[in-house]
Amino acid sequence: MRGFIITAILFSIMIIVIISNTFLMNEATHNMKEAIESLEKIPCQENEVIIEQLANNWKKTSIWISLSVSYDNIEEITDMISSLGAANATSNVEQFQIHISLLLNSIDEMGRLEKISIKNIL
Amino acid sequence: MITIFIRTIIIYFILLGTMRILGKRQLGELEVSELITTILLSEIASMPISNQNIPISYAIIPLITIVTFEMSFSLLLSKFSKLKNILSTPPSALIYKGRIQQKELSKNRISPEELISELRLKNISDPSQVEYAILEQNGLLSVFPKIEHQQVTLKHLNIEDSESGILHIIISQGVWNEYNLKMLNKRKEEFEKYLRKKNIEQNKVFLLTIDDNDKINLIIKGE
Repeated sequence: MRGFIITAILFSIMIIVIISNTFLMNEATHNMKEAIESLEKIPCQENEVIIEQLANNWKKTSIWISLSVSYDNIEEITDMISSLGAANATSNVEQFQIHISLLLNSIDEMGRLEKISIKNIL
Repeated sequence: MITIFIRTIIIYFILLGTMRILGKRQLGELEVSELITTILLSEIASMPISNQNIPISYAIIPLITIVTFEMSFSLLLSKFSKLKNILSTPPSALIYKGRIQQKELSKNRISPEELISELRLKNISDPSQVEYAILEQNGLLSVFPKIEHQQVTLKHLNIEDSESGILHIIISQGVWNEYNLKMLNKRKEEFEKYLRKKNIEQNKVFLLTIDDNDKINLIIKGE
């Protein structure tokens, strides 16, 4: 019985952590997407501030997000944000928009496992 | 390298804790679900050790989930015996009152050769010597020979002897076994007095045991 009680407590803590992680992850992906969508469609100086803010927020977020997101995915997003900043600096519109699209895909991939769907489960 | 090292330590202690919670039943794998759990636990635990890209939570969450289900099943099975028949196979009598049960052999997909082999492992050369052979839930075969083939006991020879029972460890490598002292309702002072009589210090004791007839056995370190 004591073993069962310990297990039940551990299970309850785990469920709380999973639910909290789901909310935090959804919030993080939502905030990142919002920041990306607030970017100007063409490279410009205003975008630099937003991209820098995005990079700083990502640096803080990636610490706790590594609990549930693979290292590969985190590194991919970190590289994408750097590439986005570089594309903005080179003023290459096509490259800039490609990088926005790739970054959005990576963020979606990061949040995928926290969304309950038949596709994800299968 | 250091990450692998730290992850291994974490996973090791989590597994240790898991097996501790699951208890002796898990070590004995008495039920099918327990065997499945053991296999899964080892596979899941090794994942974040061998693959550094996987977060450690990918092992911790499945471990806790599996342990919870295992504990819940064990509890349900112990409370509801009808459920036991659905979730686990009951023992099968492969030899019943001296006769080989061919239907049971077929049901359990055991060939006569396998049965004979298992009996040989129990030092029985001929199935006709066996009264009962039962295939238990954990897959092991319990064998009960016919009375004329059973080992002779003191009772058969009408010899009386007192039960020596089992040996209880009191001191092992200089350290008291508090659990046994409590179980036997004995006090340390009794054994300290014994050691003083023998002029031996507690930390020099390799093994000190007592049987159910209160006979004390002592082995000193280095003997």
